[in-house]
Amino acid sequence: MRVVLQLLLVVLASPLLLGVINKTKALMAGRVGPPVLQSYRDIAKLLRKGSVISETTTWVFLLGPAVALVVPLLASLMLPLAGTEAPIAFTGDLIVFVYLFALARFCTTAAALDTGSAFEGMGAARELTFAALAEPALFFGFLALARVSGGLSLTSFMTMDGGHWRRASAAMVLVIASWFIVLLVENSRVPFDDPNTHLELTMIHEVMVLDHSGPAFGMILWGAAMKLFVYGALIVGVILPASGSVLVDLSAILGGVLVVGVAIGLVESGMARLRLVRVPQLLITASLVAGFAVVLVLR
Amino acid sequence: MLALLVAGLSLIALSGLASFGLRGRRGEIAGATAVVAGSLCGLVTVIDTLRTGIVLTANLPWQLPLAEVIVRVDPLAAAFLAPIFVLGAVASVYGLAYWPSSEQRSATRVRVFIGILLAGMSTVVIAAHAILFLVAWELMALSSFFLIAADDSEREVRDAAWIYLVATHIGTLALFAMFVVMRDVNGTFALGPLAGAGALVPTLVFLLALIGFGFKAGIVPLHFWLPGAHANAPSHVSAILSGAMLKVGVYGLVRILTYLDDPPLWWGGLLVALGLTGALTAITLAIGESDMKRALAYSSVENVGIIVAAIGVATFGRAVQLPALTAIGFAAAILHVWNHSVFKGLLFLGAGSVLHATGTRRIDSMGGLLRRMPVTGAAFFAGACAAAALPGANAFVSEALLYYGFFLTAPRGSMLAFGAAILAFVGAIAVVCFVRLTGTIFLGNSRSEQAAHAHESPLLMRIPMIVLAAAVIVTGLLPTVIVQPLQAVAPGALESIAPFLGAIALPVQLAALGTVALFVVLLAATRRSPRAVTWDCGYAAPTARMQYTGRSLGEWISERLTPDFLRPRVEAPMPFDMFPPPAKLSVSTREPFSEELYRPLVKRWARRAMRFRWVQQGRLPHYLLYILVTLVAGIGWAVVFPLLRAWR
Repeated sequence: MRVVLQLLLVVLASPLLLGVINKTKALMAGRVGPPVLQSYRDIAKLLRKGSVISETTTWVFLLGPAVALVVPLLASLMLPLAGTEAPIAFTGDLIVFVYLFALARFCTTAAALDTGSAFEGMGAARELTFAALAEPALFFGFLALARVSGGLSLTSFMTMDGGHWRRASAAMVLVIASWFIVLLVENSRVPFDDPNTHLELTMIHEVMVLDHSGPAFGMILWGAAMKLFVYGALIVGVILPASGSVLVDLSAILGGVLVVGVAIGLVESGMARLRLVRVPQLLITASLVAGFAVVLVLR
Repeated sequence: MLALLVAGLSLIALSGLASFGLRGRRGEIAGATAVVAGSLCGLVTVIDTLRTGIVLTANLPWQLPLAEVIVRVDPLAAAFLAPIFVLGAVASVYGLAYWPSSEQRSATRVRVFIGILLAGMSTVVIAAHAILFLVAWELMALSSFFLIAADDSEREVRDAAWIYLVATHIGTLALFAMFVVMRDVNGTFALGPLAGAGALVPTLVFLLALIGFGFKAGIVPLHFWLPGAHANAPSHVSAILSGAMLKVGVYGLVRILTYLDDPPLWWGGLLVALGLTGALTAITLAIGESDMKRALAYSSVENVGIIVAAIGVATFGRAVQLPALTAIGFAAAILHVWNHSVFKGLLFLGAGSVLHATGTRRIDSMGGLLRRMPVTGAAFFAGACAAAALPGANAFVSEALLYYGFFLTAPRGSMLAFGAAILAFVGAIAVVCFVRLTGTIFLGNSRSEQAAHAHESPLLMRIPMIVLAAAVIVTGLLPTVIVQPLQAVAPGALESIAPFLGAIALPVQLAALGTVALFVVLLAATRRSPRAVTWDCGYAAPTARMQYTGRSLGEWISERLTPDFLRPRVEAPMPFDMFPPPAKLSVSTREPFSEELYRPLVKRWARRAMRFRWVQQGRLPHYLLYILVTLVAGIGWAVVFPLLRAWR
C-alpha cells in the first residue's frame, strides 16, 4: 500500500514540480507563463508522437531513456516518503541510491555519444565532469548525517525526530546548503545549466537529448522531473522531522518539494548561468562546505 | 586434492611443449587444451578448498641448502589461485585466434611462457617456504618479461619490457630483505607468523612487504612500469598480467599481513591513504590517455588502489579490534580481486579484438565499432559498466562493501570515514573514463578508414569474452552467490556481509528488470520510426571528424582540473603570421612519475655509477675470475663462520 502511494506520488507529482518552477519564474518576470499543468500535457503528447532516429545510433541510444526513467523511480523507493520506513531500506542503501544515478549517467551520456554529434558529446563531457565534482559533496553530507542520526540508511536520515536541529544545527545548515547546490547541478538548473535556452553550445542536459524524439524524449523529460523530485524529497526529508502518520508525511514531503521548486524558480529568476570555468569552483566549494559539516560533527 | 592441483600445474607448465611435438595448428590446439584442462584441475581444488576450508599441506625434500618444498593450499591461497586459472584458460583459448603461429613469429614463444607464467604465479601463491616463494617469484617475473617483449621488433615494446624487468627486480630486492628479517626472527625460512618480535621488526617487515609487493601490484608511486608493460604485451597476455599477476602482488601483501599480529593503527591509515590517493591519481591519468590499452592499464592501477584501501580498512579493523570491520574490509578486498580479474580480463580481450580489427590502439581514430562488432562491443560495454562500478555489474558489489566499511567507521567519529567521499570521487571519475572509452571506440561514426572497415572477431575470440561478460553480469545481479566462498576466506563474512549483499541485490535486480522492460517497449515503439542523419543544428554536411573526440571528452578532468604534474603535454603552436603556416597539435601522454620523478633520479645515480665501469670489461676470463672469487667467498662464509662460532 505504501509502495503504491509512494510510486503514485513520484510519478504523478513530479511534472507538477516543473510547472511550479516555471510559474515562479514567469511571475517573477511579470509574465503569465504556461499553466502549472503544462508539463503533463507535454509528456502525454510526446508519448503519443512518432519519432525520428539517427542512422548513426545503435541500441545504446534507446537504453539511455529507459534507464533515465527507471532509476529515479527506483531511487524514490529508497526514500521514506510515506511513513517512517522506505519500501527498500537497509543499512548502506545510500550507496545503491547514489550509484543508481551513476548508472543513469553512464547510459544517458553513452546514448548522447551514440549519435556522433559534437554538441551532444560536449553536453556529455560537461554532465560527466560536473556530476563527478558534485559526488564528494553528496557523500560528505551522508557522512555528517550518519554521525548525527547514528544510522546508515536514507530512512534514518530522513526520519530524525527534530532533535538533530538542536544538536547539530550548524552542520545541518551546511549540509543542506551544499546539497541544494548538488540538486541544482545534478538536475541541470541555473546557475549550471539553463533548461530554457535554445543555444545548443551553452547547454548540458538539453543538448544531450537533442536527437531523442517522441516517446524516448517523453521518458527523458519525465525521468528528469522525477529525478528533481527525488533530490528535492531527500533534502526536505532531512530538514523536516518525521511525524509517523502516513498522510501527514506524504503531504509534508509534497509541500516541501513544491517549496524547493519555488526556491529553484527564485534562484533561476535572480541569477544568470555561471561562466563555465566558474562551475567547478562552485562545486568544489559545495564539497568543502559539506566536508566542513563532517568535521563539525566528528569532533 | 593437492595431487590434482600439482598435476594441473604440471600440465599448464608444460603446455607450451606441445608446439614442439605437434607442428602447426594441432600443436597450438593441444597446448591450449592442456592449459584449459590443467586450469580445470586447479579450479576443482580451489572450489573444494573454498567450500570446505580444509588446509592442504605437503612437504618435500629439495636438494638446496636451507630450502624445502613446502606447499600449502588454504582458503586465502585458493582465493588468489582462482583468477589465475580462470584467466589462464580463457586467455589461452583467445590466443588461439588472436596470436596464431600463422600470423605471429613469436606465437610459440608466447605459448611456452604463458604456461610457465601461470605455473609460476600459482606456485608463488601456494609456496609456504621463502626459497620456493622466491624461485617461483623469479620464474613469474622472467617469463612475464619475455611475454611483454613478444613483439620485440618495436622499440617501444623493448623499452617497456626493460623498465618492467628493472622495476620487478628492485621489488625482489626488498623481498629478499624482508625474508631475511623474517628468518632472523623465526629461525627458519618456512613461512609462518612472526613470533614475539617487539614493535620495530614487524614494522620493518610490513614496510619491506609494501615496497616489494607494491612494485608487483602497481601501488602508486611504484606503478610506473605498469602502463607500458600492460599496453605493449599481446592483449591476451595483458589480460593475464592485469587480471592475475597484479593480484599475486596483492596476495603477498595480504599474506604477510596475516603473519603480523596486532597491527598498529597507522598501518591501516597508511594503506587507505596510499590506496585512495593512488586510485585518484591513476584514474585521472587514465582519462588523459589516448591509447586504449594504456588507459585500461591505468584503470588497473586504480583498482589495485581500491583493493589496497580495502586491505587498509581490514587492517584498521584488526587494530581497533572490530571483527566486523575486519571481515568487511577483507571481504571487499578479496571480492574486488576476483571482480577486477574478470572485468579487466574482459576489457583487455575486448581491446585485443578492437586492435585485431583496426590495427590501432589510438581511440581517436576509432568510433562506430559497435555496429561492426556487436559482440565485442556489447561485451566491452558490460566490462566498462563494471570498471565504473555500476549496479548490475560485479565490481559494484565489492565497491559497495568498501563504502560500507568506510561508513561503519563514521558513527565512531574516525577520520577514516572521509575515505568514502574520496572513493565516491574516484568512482565518479571512473564513470567519465569509461564513458569516454566506450563512447569513443564503439559509438558514433568511424573516424578512420580502418575503423570503417573493421570486422567482428572470430568465434574463438568471442567465446572467452562472452564467458567473462556473463560472469560480470551474474555476479552483479546475484551478489549472494559469492558469500559462501568468501566465508572461507574472510571468517565472519557470513554475519557481517551476507545481509548487506542480500539487500543490495533487490534494487539492482529491479533496476535491471525495469530497464529491460522499458527498453523492449521503446524498441517496439520505435521499430518503424524513420531514420535520418544526426541533428547537427541545421548544418548540412556533418563529417565523422566533427565528433567530440576522446581528448575533448576528458579535457575537463585531465587538462583543466588536475595539477600540472599529471597533465598530458600539449603542443599547439599558434599559426600567427601574415601568411599563417598550417596549424599543428600534438598531445603526448607520458607516465609522469617515471619521466619527472625517477628518470632524473636514475640519471644522477647512473653518472655516479660510471666510476665502477672498470669492473665490467666484457672479457670472459675476468668474469670467470669473479665467479671463482664469489664461490670461494661463499664457501668460506658457509664453512668458516660456523667454525669460528663453534671455536669461540
